[in-house]
Amino acid sequence: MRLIIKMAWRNLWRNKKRTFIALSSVFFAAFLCMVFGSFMEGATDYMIDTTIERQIGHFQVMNPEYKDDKIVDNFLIISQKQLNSWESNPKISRLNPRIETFAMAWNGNKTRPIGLIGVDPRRENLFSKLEKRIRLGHYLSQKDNGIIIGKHFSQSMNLNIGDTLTLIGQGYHGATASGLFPIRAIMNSYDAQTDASIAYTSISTARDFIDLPDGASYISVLLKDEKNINEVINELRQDNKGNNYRFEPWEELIKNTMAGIASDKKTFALFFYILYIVVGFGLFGTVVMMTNEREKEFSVMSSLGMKKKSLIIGLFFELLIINIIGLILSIIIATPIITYFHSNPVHLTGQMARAMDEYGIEPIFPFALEIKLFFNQIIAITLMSIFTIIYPIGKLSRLSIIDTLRK
Amino acid sequence: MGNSVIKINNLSKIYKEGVNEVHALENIDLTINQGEFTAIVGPSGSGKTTLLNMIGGLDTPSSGNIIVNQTNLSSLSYNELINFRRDNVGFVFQAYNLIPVLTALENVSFIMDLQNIPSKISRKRAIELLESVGLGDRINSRPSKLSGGQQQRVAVARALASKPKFILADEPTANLDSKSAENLLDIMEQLNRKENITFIFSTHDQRVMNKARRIIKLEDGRVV
Ligand SMILES: Nc1ncnc2c1ncn2[C@@H]1O[C@H](COP(=O)(O)OP(=O)(O)OP(=O)(O)O)[C@@H](O)[C@H]1O
Ligand SMILES: [Mg+2]
Repeated sequence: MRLIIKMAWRNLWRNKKRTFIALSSVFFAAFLCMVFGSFMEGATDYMIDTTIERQIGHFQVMNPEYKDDKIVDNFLIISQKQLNSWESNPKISRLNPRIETFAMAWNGNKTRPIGLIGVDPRRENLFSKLEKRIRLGHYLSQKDNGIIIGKHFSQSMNLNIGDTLTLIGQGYHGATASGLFPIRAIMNSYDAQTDASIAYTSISTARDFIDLPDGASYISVLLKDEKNINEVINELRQDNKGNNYRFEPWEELIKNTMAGIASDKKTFALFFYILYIVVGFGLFGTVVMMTNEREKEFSVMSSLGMKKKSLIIGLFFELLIINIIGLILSIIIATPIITYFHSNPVHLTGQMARAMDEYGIEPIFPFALEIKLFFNQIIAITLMSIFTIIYPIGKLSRLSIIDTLRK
Repeated sequence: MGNSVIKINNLSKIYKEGVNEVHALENIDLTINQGEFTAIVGPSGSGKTTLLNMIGGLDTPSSGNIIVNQTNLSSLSYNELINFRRDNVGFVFQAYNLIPVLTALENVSFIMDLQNIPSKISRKRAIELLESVGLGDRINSRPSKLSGGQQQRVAVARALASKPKFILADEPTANLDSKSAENLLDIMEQLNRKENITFIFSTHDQRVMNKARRIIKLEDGRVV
């Protein structure tokens, strides 16, 4: 075996340029896969994490009917006392009750439909940092009867701070909802669509507006540790046996986003399969050349008494050396890069950054540091080595010593 | 003839090339004894290479038998034949065919390494062999740094390394100038005389034939 390894190593130096090219292609494939894979994983993980932390929580509590039919009558009835007791659960970090309803907004002869969101100003601010989005005026006080509107909405409706907006909508159990809302603040929104169609008021004012005794559309619950999700859900379910609550975990809440991420990841993976296939064929070509130009040597060694198995193992070692060095180099160079961007994430600028900022999300892209990334390259390169060794196996098993020696 | 190394009975080899049949060897009967220094001669295409390949277990007969030390080569499997070659036959090729990535010393140790002989022993023997072919000062040279004559002497040392029953050399001097050829032949002859090693070689070269103690003449695949 020592002889085989020694010969494999020296054979690599016979054609330095070719060895170098083969080695670099392995290196670049593994390097690109690791760095971009880390970026991709990191970006999606960060997006999911911040969506959970800033928007939806680890799970939401709602009326079972609400999931498919988001009408006022399907809102959840829950007392403040109950909410406070959940909030004091040591496994729960914070929670956020919200009311989401639709209304027709009215000012003079202008009307516009709008989504009215009733928030607990303190709790909402812990989640989405709503206060940061205010560009004019003041944030809502706890039981504020005022409203926060978007810039585009204020322009199209001709409204300013201090003006009063009239809303008409659908109340609880068939009542008609109507109310007057003084404009407290005008906020930034990254896209005009959201800006023109969403307004915030305090949850108590929203309840009064729709005539809901005590409750919310849903309650978002953020845990201190995601691991406890099932435990906490079961706990809450036990404590509220009398009430028919639905507990919706975050995967369900952003099902579409998750499906989108999964398909993005597939596209991304496909790109890297192709990269490896290209590199694999490159290596295959190298191995074909290596085998063919050494046909005579193989015949000589075989006539001297070396088994074909050993000849193939020798070639496999050459491949392995190329692949292992390429892989190790790529890990050595990629690891510090990934680690650096893991702890010093890329800071975004421009439109996207502002949009994230508005939603209380720090505009960064941290890289993921996952052992899986390295492991995948090892698997890919192993498969590639197995694929490339097929040719010499076929060639050597058909090798005719006497014909080759005659040449 | 208790000391016969190789016994060939009624050996024939037919190569098929499409519809044509080439009778490379026909009904050969031959006995080679321990310690012979024998030349196989004959015109081009007479079957010299074919006969040597058969004896060395590189090619298989169409009919007839080759018996080396009681072993009928036809009875050996592919892998058994590889081991047979490793342990019994020393090959010297016309084109030297040293392994380019190995030094002279490593080329000579090659077969001993295949036999799993401890490297301390194989190294010592390889150095002795290289010294005996006059290359004691070139043991660490790669083949590309050696002349043709030197390479062929390394090849002879390599052929001797496993202490084979006999050495087969197919036109060992064909690529050498006359001085190197003579030198090589002298070395082979010396080894044959001193250590009683059996040599069978093919040649076109009259001077090489003159050194042989027995000449087997082939013509159209027959011994004449
Ligand atoms: N693999 C093969 N397929 C078909 N015919 C072959 C094959 N090998 C050898 N022959 C034929 O067998 C005959 C004997 O060939 P061989 O090589 O043994 O001759 P030789 O005496 O060694 O000739 P030379 O002196 O030119 O080396 C020739 O006619 C040759 O064409
Ligand atoms: Mg010949």
